[in-house]
Amino acid sequence: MASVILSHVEKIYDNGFHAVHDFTLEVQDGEFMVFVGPSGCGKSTTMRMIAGLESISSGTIQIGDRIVNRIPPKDRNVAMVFQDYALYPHMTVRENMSLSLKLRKVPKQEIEKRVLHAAKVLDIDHVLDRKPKELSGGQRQRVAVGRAIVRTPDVFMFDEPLSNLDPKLRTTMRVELKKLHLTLKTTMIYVTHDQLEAMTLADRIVVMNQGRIQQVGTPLEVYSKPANKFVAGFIGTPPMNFFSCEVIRENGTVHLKSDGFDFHVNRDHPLYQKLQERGISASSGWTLGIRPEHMELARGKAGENQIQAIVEVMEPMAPEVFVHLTSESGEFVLRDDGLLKPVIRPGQKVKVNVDMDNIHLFDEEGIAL
Amino acid sequence: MMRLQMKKGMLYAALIAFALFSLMPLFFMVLTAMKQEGMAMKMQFIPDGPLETLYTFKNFTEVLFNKDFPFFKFFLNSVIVAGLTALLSTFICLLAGYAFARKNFPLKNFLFSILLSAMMVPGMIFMVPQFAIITNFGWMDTLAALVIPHTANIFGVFLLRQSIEKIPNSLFEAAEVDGAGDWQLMRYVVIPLVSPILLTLILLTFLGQWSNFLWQLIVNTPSSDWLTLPVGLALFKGQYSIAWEKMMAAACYSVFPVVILFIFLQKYIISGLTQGGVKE
Repeated sequence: MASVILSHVEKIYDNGFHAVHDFTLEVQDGEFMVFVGPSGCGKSTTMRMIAGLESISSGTIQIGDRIVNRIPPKDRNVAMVFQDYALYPHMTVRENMSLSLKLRKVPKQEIEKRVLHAAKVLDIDHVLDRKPKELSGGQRQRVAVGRAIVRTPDVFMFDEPLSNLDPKLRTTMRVELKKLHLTLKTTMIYVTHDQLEAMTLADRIVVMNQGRIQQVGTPLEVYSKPANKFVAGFIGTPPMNFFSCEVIRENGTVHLKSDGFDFHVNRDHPLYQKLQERGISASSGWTLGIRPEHMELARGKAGENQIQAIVEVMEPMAPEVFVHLTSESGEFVLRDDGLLKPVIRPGQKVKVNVDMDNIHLFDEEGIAL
Repeated sequence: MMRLQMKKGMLYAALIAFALFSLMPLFFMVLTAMKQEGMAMKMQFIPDGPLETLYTFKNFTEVLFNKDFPFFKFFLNSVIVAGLTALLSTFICLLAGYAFARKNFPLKNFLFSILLSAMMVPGMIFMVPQFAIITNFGWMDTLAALVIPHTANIFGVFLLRQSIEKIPNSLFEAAEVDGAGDWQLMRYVVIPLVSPILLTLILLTFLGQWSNFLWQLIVNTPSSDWLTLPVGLALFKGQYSIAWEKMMAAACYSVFPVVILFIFLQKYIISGLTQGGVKE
């Protein structure tokens, strides 16, 4: 077990493409860290740099007490599970799992013991003599994990290991991986583009975009306090609703105004304080962010902070319903508890209440206030 | 249905005709080997009298136990030369193919293009300079002269580079993370996955060298200890006559190892030669 420290790591390819910018992060010993972001954001490149499969252009990578910049992958004592599993097709499951130990000259009896133990933990002990082509997708994935856990590496790395599985199996394997982490208590770095996977597995999440870290935090932190508009839009399903607005501070109230709404933020609201600290009294170019679950159908109740909208589509997700609406300020989605009483229909005009305690405001650069 | 069967029947008939046609040289070789002395060049296949007047098996025994024609020595020399060349050449091709497929070094593609362009030049052109080099090295009548010039096989390098490049990168990376260095990558990943190509290459090189006559003739003087079977067979060619029957009997024996090798390796050769030709 070991911590992983990346300091000002950069990756620039020979063709000039700058894949990773000034990446600084400390993964604690035993932590489950998830790198999440859209395709091409540099998350896999960063992981591959930690594994030694990709050289770094500048900065340092430290695993445990060692700076590993110039240490080849075989000597970094890391284990990796690949997206396509990368099982050796000509070897049996047993041979696949034991190769790393064989290469490290572990005695045969010890290899057999460890392989059997790992196979039992992963429930693949009945397929040890089969070749990868004779296994199902889920079994192959387990073998790939098994190949990693037979060793006792300092760090486990997973490069989108569940992306080739069907949704049901993915959910099962997610739980298995979480359990595995609780059992092994080893540092794990996991790459995914699926924010749901990131939220459910991680102790902490690194959200990346265009080769840069956007935010590092616990799943709850990145969800409830997104550092910028990108994180706010990337984390959460359905994503956060965004409305362009202007900010006007007068008579002890802040007005967040757009064509379709005029929300009031009182003096005791944290946003009011922050706007006051910045000395902003009137300015445009702001973005208001509201999560779908922080909006609700007014159901006849009159309220202060409401948007008028027309129901477009309803997506029953059982037990909840995603209601897609359109308003003068743009389209948005709200998340209803599923009762939808009174019943609404597409085309119907409705009023939507906004939970002002859970709104987010982003400046022109997209940085959260 | 009837039409389909007829079509199939015609196809089989054509294939059988082609097969028989290709077997003709082999058939004549066996038939000539069994003919009485002096009868080889006569286009007579049915004897006028008893069978023994035209056919005999004695050529097969005379070839094996003839003091002027040390068949076993020639045979062994051929096995050593062809076997050693095949193994050495394939090993070198494997290393070169691996380097070209997996390593980054300056002028890699340029060097590879130069190698490929050498394939366009007829091999005969190299024969004189190669002979001069062998003579300068003092390698005449040695095993080195027979083997070393043929260990460079550009086609083999090309074939192996292509095959190694087709191995998914993640397999190499997985093995590297597992703790494998270059030699272990070669042993645990590359060799098992390109084994059909390796076996094909071994067999093709073996066949090429087994039947190589010209080079083996020019680097061996008649008194050489390394005369091979093809060169030895030429000994039946005298100044005034050619002992066709004995030559063909010896040729019959020379075909055996090739046939045996082919039978055992056929499965791999077919998969090696068709690799990449079909979508998997």
